[in-house]
Amino acid sequence: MRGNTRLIVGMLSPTLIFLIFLLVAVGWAFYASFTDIMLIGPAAKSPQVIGLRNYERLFRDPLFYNSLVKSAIYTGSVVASQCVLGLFLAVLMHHKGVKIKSAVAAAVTMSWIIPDIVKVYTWGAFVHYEGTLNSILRVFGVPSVRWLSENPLGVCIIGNVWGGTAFSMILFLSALETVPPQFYEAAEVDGASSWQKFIAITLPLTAPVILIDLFLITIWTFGYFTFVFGLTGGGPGHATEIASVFIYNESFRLYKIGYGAAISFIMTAMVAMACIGYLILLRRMERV
Amino acid sequence: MSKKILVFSMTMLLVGAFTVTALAQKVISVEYGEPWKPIFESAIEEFEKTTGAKVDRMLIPYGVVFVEKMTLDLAAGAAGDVIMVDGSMIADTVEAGYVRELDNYVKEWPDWDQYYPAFQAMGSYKGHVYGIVLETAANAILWYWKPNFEKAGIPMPWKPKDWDEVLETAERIKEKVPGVEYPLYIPMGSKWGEGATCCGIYSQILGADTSAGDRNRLWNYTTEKWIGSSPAIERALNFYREIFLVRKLSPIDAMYAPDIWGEWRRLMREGKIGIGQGGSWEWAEFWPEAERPPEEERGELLAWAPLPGSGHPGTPPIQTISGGWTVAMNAKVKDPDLVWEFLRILNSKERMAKWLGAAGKLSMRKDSAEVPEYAANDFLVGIGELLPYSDYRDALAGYATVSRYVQQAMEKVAVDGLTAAEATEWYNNKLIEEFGKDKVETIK
Repeated sequence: MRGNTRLIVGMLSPTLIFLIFLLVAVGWAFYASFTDIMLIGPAAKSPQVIGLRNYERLFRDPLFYNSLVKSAIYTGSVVASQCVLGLFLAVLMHHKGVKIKSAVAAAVTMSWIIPDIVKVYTWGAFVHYEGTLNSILRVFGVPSVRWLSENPLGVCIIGNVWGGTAFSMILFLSALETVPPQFYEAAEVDGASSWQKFIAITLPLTAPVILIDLFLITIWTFGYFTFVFGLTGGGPGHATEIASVFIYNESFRLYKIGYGAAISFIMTAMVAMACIGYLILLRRMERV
Repeated sequence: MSKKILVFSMTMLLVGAFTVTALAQKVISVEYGEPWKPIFESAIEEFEKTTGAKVDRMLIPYGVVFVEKMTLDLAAGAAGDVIMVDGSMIADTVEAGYVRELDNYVKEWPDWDQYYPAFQAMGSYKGHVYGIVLETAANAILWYWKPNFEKAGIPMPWKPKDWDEVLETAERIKEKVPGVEYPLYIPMGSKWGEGATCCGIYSQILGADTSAGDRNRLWNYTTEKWIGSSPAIERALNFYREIFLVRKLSPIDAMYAPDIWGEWRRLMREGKIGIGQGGSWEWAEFWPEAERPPEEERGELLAWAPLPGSGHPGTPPIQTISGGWTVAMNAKVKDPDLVWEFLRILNSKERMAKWLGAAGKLSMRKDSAEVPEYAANDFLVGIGELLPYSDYRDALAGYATVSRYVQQAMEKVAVDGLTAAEATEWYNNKLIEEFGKDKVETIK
């Protein structure tokens, strides 16, 4: 029994160490959110406790609401597009008759595995005024567009979908492998079309995985920072200033680390609520 | 058996010797950015040779936002023993307790007297020295691409007398040379960060009104208040509005490119800019080192004109601003004497003058003129003539925050389409929110 205890403690120790680090950091950030601490200036050396002032300021800050709206559009669009596209590609990959599926799989996966900063520069070059996208459009007689100033949020959304769809595709592909082939064979005997098979068999049987995918992508996209920050820095103006970029700009460009911590906690609470919603839905689905 | 003991003893002896050597060797860490690599690398080499100590190089490459990286390293206690602090951030950095006072060292250093008083002041705060200015420049001059001027039929050398002439020239380039994407490029917005203030709008603010009563500044040195609203701020913002919104002389996408500095330099060297406002250091920096043409060849493509004042009565004919990066000592250094030795080697007369001459940067030392590599540089002689028209940023605690709001005010006119008056009002409100009503004033 004692041997077992030692083994359990041994096995759990990495998690415990990780938890301690996490709790210390979260605890410090929570404390900081009630202070006027800054990265430079007198408040970096001797910060004062200011109670709820950071939180009060937050709810009066129009840029906070701007970042919420941008985050909602960004996250909603990315999650929906990535999920639909991922499912479409997974079904395509799963289908035996498709010949180019290896090439498609390689292209999609490649965009996922390259490092974020490389993704930023690659996508930035693609949508640049003198970039590949405009070169292609010019072949069809479409005049060049300054994408980064015309539709910056759209550029960020599509870029993120390009870089992240592979995850959904892989997840759905593994889910499709678990669907017994007899179901499709039986449906074929009954004369079901591909669309009917998708609606009646594929979708219900992969629904829990779809929900997990939605759950994970929502968390990741809401907190995702590198791509948008690297591409636009939140601009032009505040056009792409999603929550994570807003937190960065307040914390590290205006140096208000205490205020940044307060925003982080509010944002975390919002993501947590969305996640709880997903989990409730998942539980209900499991019961059904 | 005895052979085994002998081998074991020898091994232990060697391990011990290596350990002792490793422990005895002193190490200092030096954190610097890639633009300053040549001068730092040569100083490190000499420092290691003369002191026997080792240097842990902490190079911050191009593409990383240098100020933010350095600030975060300082806040996290991870910065080098030798650090670089922008002259405008000395006050904030000292107040945060990040840098060590250098008074005792500079007192004993004969070279210190060779620094012009203005540059001694740039690295000082409340009468104490914290940083030694490594370089300075004219932060805002008007670069122009000669082939584009030729195509547009604009006589050269070009020397505009006021802002209207700058705008009209850019409009002519826009009309006559359609291949020029940015007839008038000027740093704007928060992605440019401090660059938008120090290479961009602050020179316009200084040139927009008379200097009487600090009417043309962001800080009033008499009343000791931040200026939230003034004709100078409004005129400068209106100049930006004219460029980006009214006359459409610059698309905004290059202001938000993934690598804005790299993009601005590429656009210039590829002839896609007509006139570009930037620092005098760009003489060398427009081209990556490997592609940089010799000076004569560069001179056939590129020229510069001083930035004129606005043209309003009483404003200066020429206006620029000089910043400067300082090298400082981390407050947490264990061996300050050794770190000072590095700073002394880095800032030596010959090394500094040669590097400044090669990099196209201005010297802060009187004795640089004695070094042929610096004195023979015609470009630096020309730029040096701007120094009497040059002013400085407000090296005060809080400047970094003010500068950030200035950048956002620029976006208000250039991106959001607010009038200059509306953007000034927005800026004024942000300052009041930040510092309180009693620390912000309006100049009519």
